[in-house]
Amino acid sequence: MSTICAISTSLAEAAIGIVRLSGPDSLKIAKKIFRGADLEEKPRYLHYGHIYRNEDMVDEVLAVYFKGPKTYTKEDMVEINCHGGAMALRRVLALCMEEGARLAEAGEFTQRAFLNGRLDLTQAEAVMQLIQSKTELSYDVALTHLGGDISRKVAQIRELLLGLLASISLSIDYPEEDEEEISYERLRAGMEEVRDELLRLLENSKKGKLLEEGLRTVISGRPNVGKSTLLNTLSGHSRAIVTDIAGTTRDTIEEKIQISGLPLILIDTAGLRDTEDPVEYLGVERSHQAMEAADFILYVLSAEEALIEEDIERLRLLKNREYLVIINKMDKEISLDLDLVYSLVSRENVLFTSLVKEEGIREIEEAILDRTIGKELSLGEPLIQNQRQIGLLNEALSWAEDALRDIDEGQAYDYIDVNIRGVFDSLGLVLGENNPDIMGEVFSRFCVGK
Amino acid sequence: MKYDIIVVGAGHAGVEAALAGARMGRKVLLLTMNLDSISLLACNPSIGGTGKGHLVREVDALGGEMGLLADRVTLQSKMLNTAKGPAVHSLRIQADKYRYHEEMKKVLENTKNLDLRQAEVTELIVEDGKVKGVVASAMDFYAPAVILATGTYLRSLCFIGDLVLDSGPSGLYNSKKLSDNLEELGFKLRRFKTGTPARIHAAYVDYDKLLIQNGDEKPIPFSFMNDSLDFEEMPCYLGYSNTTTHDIIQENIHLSAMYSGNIEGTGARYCPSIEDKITRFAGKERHQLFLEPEGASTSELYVQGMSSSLPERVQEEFLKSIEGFENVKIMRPGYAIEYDCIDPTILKLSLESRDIEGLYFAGQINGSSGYEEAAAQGLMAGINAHLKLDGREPLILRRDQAYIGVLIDDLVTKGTNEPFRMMTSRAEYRLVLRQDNADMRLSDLGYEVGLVSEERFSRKEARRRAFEEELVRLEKTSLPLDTINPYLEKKDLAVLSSSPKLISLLRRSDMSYEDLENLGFGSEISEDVKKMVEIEVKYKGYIEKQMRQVDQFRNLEDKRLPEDLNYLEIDNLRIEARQKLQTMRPDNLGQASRISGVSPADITVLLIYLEKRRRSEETRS
Repeated sequence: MSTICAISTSLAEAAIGIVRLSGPDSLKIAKKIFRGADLEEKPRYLHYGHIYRNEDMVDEVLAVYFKGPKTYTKEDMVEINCHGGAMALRRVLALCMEEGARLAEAGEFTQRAFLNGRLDLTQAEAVMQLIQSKTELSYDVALTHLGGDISRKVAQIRELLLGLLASISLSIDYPEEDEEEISYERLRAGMEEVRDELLRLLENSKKGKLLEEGLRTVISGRPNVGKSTLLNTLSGHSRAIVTDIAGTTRDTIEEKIQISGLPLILIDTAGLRDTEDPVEYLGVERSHQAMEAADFILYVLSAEEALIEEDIERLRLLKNREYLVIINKMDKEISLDLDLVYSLVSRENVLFTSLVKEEGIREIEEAILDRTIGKELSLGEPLIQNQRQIGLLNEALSWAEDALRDIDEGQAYDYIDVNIRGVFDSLGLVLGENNPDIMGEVFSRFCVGK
Repeated sequence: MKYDIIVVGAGHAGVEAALAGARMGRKVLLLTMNLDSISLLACNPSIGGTGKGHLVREVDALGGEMGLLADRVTLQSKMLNTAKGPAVHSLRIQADKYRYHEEMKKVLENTKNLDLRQAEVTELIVEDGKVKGVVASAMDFYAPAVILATGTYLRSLCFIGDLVLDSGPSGLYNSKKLSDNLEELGFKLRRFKTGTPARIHAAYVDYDKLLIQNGDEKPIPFSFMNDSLDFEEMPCYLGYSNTTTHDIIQENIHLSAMYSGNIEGTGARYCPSIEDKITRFAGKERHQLFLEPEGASTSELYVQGMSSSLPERVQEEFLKSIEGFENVKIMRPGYAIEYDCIDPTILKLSLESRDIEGLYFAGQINGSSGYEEAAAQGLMAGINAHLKLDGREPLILRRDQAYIGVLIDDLVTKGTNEPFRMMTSRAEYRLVLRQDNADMRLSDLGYEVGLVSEERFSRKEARRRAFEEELVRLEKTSLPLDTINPYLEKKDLAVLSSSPKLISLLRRSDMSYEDLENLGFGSEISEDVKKMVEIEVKYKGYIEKQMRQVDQFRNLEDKRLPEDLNYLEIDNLRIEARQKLQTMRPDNLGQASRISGVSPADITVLLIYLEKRRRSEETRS
């Protein structure tokens, strides 16, 4: 088993950063490069000292030795707290590698913790996300996972399924017993509950994914209505070139921002309008595509200008999408026909701003939050945001739908059972376990046997 | 005296083992303590049932005896679960207990290479970790393979109230010395318990107060070698206990052997005594019972559902309270029986002991229960002893191949804390493990090992050909619209606009093979092939879905674990998993994953370890 090392903190400017070692040679390597105290004599203590490369001092540090197996990876570990900044950290890391450690692959510490039996699969995945999580809210979601909320929820659904499977087994293995067979109605009710629970988890998983990957938000509208100003206002600084000349923004511009923990990828597009200018034409084309691919659309209109055919067409396309229509320049004279706008889009999705006066910004932010992760999102709710788990949940859902179809068709119990077991097994994989004691359930519930 | 294989015990496991060995050309000695109790149906006079019926069919498909014999002594035959899907249709017969014994004895007596002998085995001859033979009734018998199929006879005790009888079932001798010897050889023995109800006299039952239970009008044989059955049917009867019955039992429950503390063995939850039933499910106002004939030549009736270890006097009293049983006369009381068995996790999947080479275990000594479960293990032990003597790989049936595979894997890999009974729910892939296709699944394997006869093999081939040709015909043949539409109209079904293929018609839930025949588009094939075709066509989607699950399952199952693997040295495995794997030495990763105490994380570690090992071997070569 090799010893691995990595920089375990962000490389961004920070006061301190940590280099971490895990594996059988951790102590040996640390002893070689660290001077100032005996790490081995007092494990779990933070020792002051210096890192040396031969006779050259590299950094002034605090170091601590954790003796396995009571560590995160269950292996011997050493953590060296260096001064922040990429330079010092990289030099210490390089030194560890010179002494025989190998650079850890992404997530390898967690992988070791998992392989050494320290974490279950769900927990390990949650930690991986913790490492990758980019925003505060996502960080909290990852923490909730660790507590086993998903495991609990999924286990509850499996409990329900186990009851149904036991009832079916009873009817198949004890056809002549004096016990009532489960009815199709009860099976349907049970499976509908399972399906709804799965849908809820998956719905939440979308939110989880949003929190991790960000909401792709396209700012769209005719030239010079204030799209770039909106982008700049939301992101808090000037990036897109803002002029009064229509068609200034010829390419799409992306900006990552956060609204109350929700990461937003703002995409400013070239003004939508038919153009003969080939350069601008490309930009327009791209903005159409961006709109198609977006999670959310902010369509900007100017209060100064009446709707034209092109706007009407675009607004109609917003149906079935997540969007807001922002009517800007409310400080100016209004020539926009509001009734016409309301006839095209839902009134509650229309907001009014004066970007130059910085009015209405908060309302936009709130409306975006409200329409995406929703007001009801609390951190106690299990959010599933990992691809493997979402895949398995979708698989479970499709088995559940097949089971419901079979129930409606009045299919024989042993065939319905295949699909219910499918749900059960897929959910078992989410938890990383699979050994149903269906017969145990039958015997505890029913009086059967010769 | 020298043999190839010695089989100890002539119950349902022992006879299959001995017959299989002898039929494959081995010189076999079959020893039993009593020639008059060969193949004794010690409990129910019936064979088959849910899950069990599948086992009988599989034993038959592999060239075993049970199905053939059952067909000869049938008193009533019933296909259970016909209202459910075809995968769980299960055959069960009422058998003539006496004729079953007689006929089996005859078969054994007339089998070449087989010596049948009454003697009590008291000791195994073991040298250098290998079995060499047995000592029986002070004689030495030698063989490089010994199969222990001792049933419930090891140190058995029978309990009737506070009466403790030092005997095997039905007052037969038990065996103590072999237990002692097994312990000396290092085997840990456990105590299991089972029970049986009273047998009553048929003349003292008021049948008008009971519900008659007849068998199927068109009985289907167990054996693929038989096309039809001919027998004189005897009915069974259904009755119910009542609250008076329960009160009597409740008042006397302290007298039951199960509650007096005399019994230390573990009983099976699926085989509860009537005392258990009224205690655990106190709210139930009645429990059903079936009266089953023990044979055509006897008046004894078996009272299924009323298994008890109450004193005989109390048994009579509570039976009398049952409607129709007012004048009941007990001929033999019900009793509980406790016996020694091993922990089956000490065995390989071939049923050979991991510690003593050439020593096989089969049947109830492995902690299973049931005639059919025993027969299946006996057959596999016989086949594997033969293959071992040939220096060939054992025949291990996978969970996706046979109920037998499920049975043995469950016993050997998971172990059992109570007498183990087969149930369809234990089989994950039951849509492909149907009783109608057992020969398609297994007869080739039986043929390869030399147990399936030419005749059986060609019957299977004929069935397979007929099946395949019929599928092709259904796919190719179209039905003219002017034939099908009037027929649909008559049945109040929507008419079609284009002429359908037969297969698409058969796929419909509202059409059956019979409809094709009514339309004049049937085929001259046997009923069983028609059934098989209908199932394959109708349930194609489900079967394919299940096959995909099987493929996933095979993923781990096909990853063999090297025999020289030292699990104790695989660092990342948890200690518990290391020890479990080191003692159990599973064949493959799939089996490893089913061992209790081995977590999915351990399997991941093993996967990684094997991959590493493979790579380092690759670079070396």
